[in-house]
Amino acid sequence: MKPTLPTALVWVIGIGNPLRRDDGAGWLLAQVLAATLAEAGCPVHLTLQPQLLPELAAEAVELQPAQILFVDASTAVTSPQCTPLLPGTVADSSHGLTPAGLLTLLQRLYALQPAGWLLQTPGQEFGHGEGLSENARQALQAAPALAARWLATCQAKTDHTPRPICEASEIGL
Amino acid sequence: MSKTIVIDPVTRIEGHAKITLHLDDQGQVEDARFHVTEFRGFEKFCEGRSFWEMPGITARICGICPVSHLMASAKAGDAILGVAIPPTAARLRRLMNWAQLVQSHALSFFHLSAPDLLLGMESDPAKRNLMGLIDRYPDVARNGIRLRSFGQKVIEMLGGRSVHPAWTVPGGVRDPLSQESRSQIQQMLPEALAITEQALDLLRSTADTYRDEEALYGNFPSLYLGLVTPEGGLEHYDGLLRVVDSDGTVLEPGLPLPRYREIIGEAVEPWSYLKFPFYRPAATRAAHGGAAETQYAAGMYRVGPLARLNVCDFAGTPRAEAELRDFRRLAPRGRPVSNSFHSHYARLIEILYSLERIAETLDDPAITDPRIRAHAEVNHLVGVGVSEAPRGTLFHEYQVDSNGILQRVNLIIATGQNNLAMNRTVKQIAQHHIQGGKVTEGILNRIEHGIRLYDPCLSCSTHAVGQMPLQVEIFDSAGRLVDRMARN
Repeated sequence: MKPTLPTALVWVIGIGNPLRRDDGAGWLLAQVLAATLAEAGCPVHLTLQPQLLPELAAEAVELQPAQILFVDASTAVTSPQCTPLLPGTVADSSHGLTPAGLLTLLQRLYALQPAGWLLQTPGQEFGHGEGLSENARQALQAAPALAARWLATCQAKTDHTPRPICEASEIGL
Repeated sequence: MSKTIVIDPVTRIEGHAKITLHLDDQGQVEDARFHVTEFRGFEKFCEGRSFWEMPGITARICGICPVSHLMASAKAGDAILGVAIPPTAARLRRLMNWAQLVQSHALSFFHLSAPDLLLGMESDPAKRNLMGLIDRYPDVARNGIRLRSFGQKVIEMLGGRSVHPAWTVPGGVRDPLSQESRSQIQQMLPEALAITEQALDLLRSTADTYRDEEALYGNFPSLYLGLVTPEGGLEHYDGLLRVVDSDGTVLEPGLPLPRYREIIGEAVEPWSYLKFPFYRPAATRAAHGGAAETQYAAGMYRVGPLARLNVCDFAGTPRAEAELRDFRRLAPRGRPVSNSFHSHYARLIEILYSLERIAETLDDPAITDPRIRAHAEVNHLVGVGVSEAPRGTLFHEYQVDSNGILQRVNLIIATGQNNLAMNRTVKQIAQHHIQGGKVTEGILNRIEHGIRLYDPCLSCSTHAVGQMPLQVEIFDSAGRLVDRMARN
C-alpha cells in the first residue's frame, strides 16, 4: 500500500538567534525538519523567529495549521527531546511569548487548536558569536534521522484529520 | 519611624527596574526613586567599529524598537558621508518609522496598559494581566494583535524581517519597495484605521472612570521636547528640535539637529544606570553661574507622544488633526497638556497619524522608485542622527577618524529623557495614595502604571539586555530595609 502523508499544514517555528552561538541551533534543526517534510510532500510552513510574538497568532489564522512544531535550543536537555504542548499562561511580557502562551492565544482568541509540540535540542554556549559549540553541533547531526523517523510515523498514518502526526514515543526522542 | 518601600521588579515595561519609596516618621511619602538596575554600555564597546556597522549593531539594543536605532544611526552615517539621500529613500525610511510607531504604540496600549484601564487599577491582580484581558475583552486583545501585526508586516516588507531588519544604511536603504508590497500595505490600511478609531472610542469610554488619575498621574509643569517640521508640524523622522515650557511659551522654536548639545546636558546619579538628560539653559539659569549639572532637575523635560503633540502646531492629516483639536481641549487654551495620563490618548492619535501618513506616502507612485542609495566615503568626522522613536526623541552622535572608525559614541535615548519626569510621577502617585505607611497591591500597581505611562524601554535607555519586572522596597528613616515586595 502506498504510504500517505498528512495533508493538513504543519507549521515549523524555529526559535533562536544565530548571533548567540547555540541559540541558533533551534533555527538549524527547524530548517532541516521543514526541508525533510517538504521534500516528502508534506505541507509545511517554516518560520524562524528570535522570539515568539503575539502577531504569530494572526499569521496562524491565515495558515490554519493542524500542528505546530516549536523548535528551540535548551540547556535543559542533553539530547533532542520532543514534548507535547498544551496551552498555558500568557505572560505579561512584551518581548516574547512562550510556545504554550501562543497556543493559548490561538485557542482563546481564534478558536484554533492545533496540536503543539516542543522540540528541544541541547545548547551550552549562548554568548555573542556565530557557530555552534561541539555538543550542540553533534546533537544536530541527529536531525536528518529525527526527521526521517518523524516522517515514517506520518506515513504510517492513513487518517487525514488534523491531529498530532506522531506521539513523542513514536519518534524515539 | 520613617521607612522606605521598594517596588521590585516593575512589570509590563521593557527591562529591569525597581522603585524605592522613602517614608518619613509619620509614614508619609517623603521621596520616591525609579532605579534602573541594568547596564550594557553600547557607547563604549562600539568604539573601534566602523560607522557602517552601526545601524546593525545599535538595532540590537532592542527587539521592540530596533527601527528607531536604525533610523538615527543611518542618519548619523548620512552626515558622516555628507550626502543628501535620494528622496524615495527618505520616504521609505519614514514609512518604516511610522510602521514602527504603530506596532510599538499598539503594544503599549492594547497589551500593557489595557489590563489596567479596562479591568481596573485595583482589580484582582491574578486577572489584571493579558490573560485577564483575553478572557474579558478578547476583541481588544485581537485588535492589539492585528494592529501590531500591521506594523510588523510593513517593516518586514520593507526590511526583509520584522525584528532587526538590516535595511537602512548610511546613504539610504538597501532595497526599494515593490509594487506588490505597496498594494498589500494599501489593502491592510482600512482595517488598521478602523481598529485605531475603535480604540479611541474605547479610551473615551473609560474617561469618567479615570478622572482622579487624569488629575494626579504625572500632572506637573515641565518642559517638552520633540521634532517639528520647518513649518511647525508633527514630525517623527527629521526636521528641527523644538522646546516648549509649561505655559506654552516656545523656548526653542527650531534648533538644527546637529546643535542638540547646546541645549541638552546629561547628569548621572549613583542609584541608577539611567542617565538624567536635562534642558541646559534652564539648569544653567537655576545654577546662577555654577555648573548646570548641579541644578539639572530644573531642566526637566518630557519627550514622547505627549510631548510631540504639545510641541507641534498642527498634525497635518485630517483624522489626526481632528483628534489633536480634542486633545488640546484637555488643557487651558494655549497651554500644553501636562498630565502624562493622557499619553495613552496621545499614542492613539499618533497611530492614527502614522496610518494616514503611510496611506498618503503610498499614493505617490515615486515610492517604488529604485533610486534609493547615495554612495560616498567619509567626508565629515562627526555625524549626528536624530529621529523620533515611539518613546521620544533619539540622538546618535558618532565621531570617526578618516577611515570611518568610531572614536566616540553618544546615544541619548528617549526613556532617559523622561527619567526626571518618571521619578516625579512615581512620587506624585505615591504621595497621594500612601497614607500612614500602608501600601496595598493595588497602590503598587498604580505606581507601576505611572511608569507605564511613559512606556519606558530600559533595554534601550541603558543599552541593556533584559526584561522589566518591578520590585518595591521600604526603608526607614535610618536607611534600613523594612519591607520588600516583588513580582516577576
